Amino acid sequence: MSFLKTFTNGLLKGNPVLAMLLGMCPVLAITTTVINGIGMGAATIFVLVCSNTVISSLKSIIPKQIRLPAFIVIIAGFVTICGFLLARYFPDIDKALGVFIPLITVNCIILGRAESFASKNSVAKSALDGLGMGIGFTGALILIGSVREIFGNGSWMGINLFSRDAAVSFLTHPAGAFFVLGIIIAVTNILTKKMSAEKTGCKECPVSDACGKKEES
Amino acid sequence: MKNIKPLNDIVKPSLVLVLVAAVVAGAVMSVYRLTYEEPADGMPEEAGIAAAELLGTTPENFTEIPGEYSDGIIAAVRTENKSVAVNLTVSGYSGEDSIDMVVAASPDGKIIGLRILKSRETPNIGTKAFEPEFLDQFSGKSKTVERSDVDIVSGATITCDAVLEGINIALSAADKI
Repeated sequence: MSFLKTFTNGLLKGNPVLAMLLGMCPVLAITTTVINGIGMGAATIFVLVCSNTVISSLKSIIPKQIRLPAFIVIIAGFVTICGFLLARYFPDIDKALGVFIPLITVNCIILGRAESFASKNSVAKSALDGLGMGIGFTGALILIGSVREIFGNGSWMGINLFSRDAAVSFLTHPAGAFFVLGIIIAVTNILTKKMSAEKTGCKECPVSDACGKKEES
Repeated sequence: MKNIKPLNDIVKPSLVLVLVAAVVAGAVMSVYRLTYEEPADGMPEEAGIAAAELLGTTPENFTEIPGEYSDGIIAAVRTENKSVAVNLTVSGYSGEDSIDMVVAASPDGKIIGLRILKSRETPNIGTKAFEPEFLDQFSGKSKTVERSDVDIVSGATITCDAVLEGINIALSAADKI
């Protein structure tokens, strides 16, 4: 895969949220407002890029038997560091995201990329893959957060657009998150199917790297 | 089962894992040192500003009332004319300490006003109890405010009760001060 393709893979076709359905827990929980989505996305990008880089550079040192615990320890380290930095410099975002910051550790996007990409590719490509995946994740969070904040709260980025009485406050509740996510995934599927019509098979599948099945044409 | 070589399959992986964990722990520790901040004593800035607005003064005119507080009280301050403001948290519908509020009382123990600073109550449901229609009913009340003294917001009963509880805790604390 070329460098450009490595980067753009995470944006739409292999988008961790909209195509691979990874990391659903923070996606559903924190997207009540756009600003939360941006904060969560930025924290995830930081952790993804750092952990992908470090794991890729250590891939020949870490023996196979302990690769998963070693990956998790490295990821948890970066998440904790990220949590300290947020608490110190962005206390508002830290309070809004609460427990979902430490839970980035177990976000399957990060371990998934470590296992299926960073442990097999060069450092530069892994960092780029982390950046692409992180931006794809952030984009999905912003999209879902925008829909929920605009229609659920009548505002966008904290700016009031219309009266709260006209808003469907149900969308800001947990169940509303499922509705919005489902509709957005459906729309993305229509769009991506049109783009790569007829060209199915393992090569086109976003999770083909991680998939254990033998190549099908 | 294939042969297990003690050195390559057991000792080396363990050592590498310990090494990775040690390096990560070291990095986390040094970032912790860099970002650690002593928690500030007394009334938080935000609460001080709210209390000042309620009492029609500025935070510089407050005297902190030191003491070991319980019942969720974070801090209390006094102004020159003996009015008191209490910052406290109470537990509403969304768990422990879900509402952070400031209650201001006059020297004779009457409520001047109250302000909800932060809460985790359900948006548009529990938070209806934070609107002026409900909160303004308390102005001028003193001693123990009973549920029957005010109109509870329907749908937000637990949040209203929590606010009521907070007010009574603050009033009894103000009384002792």
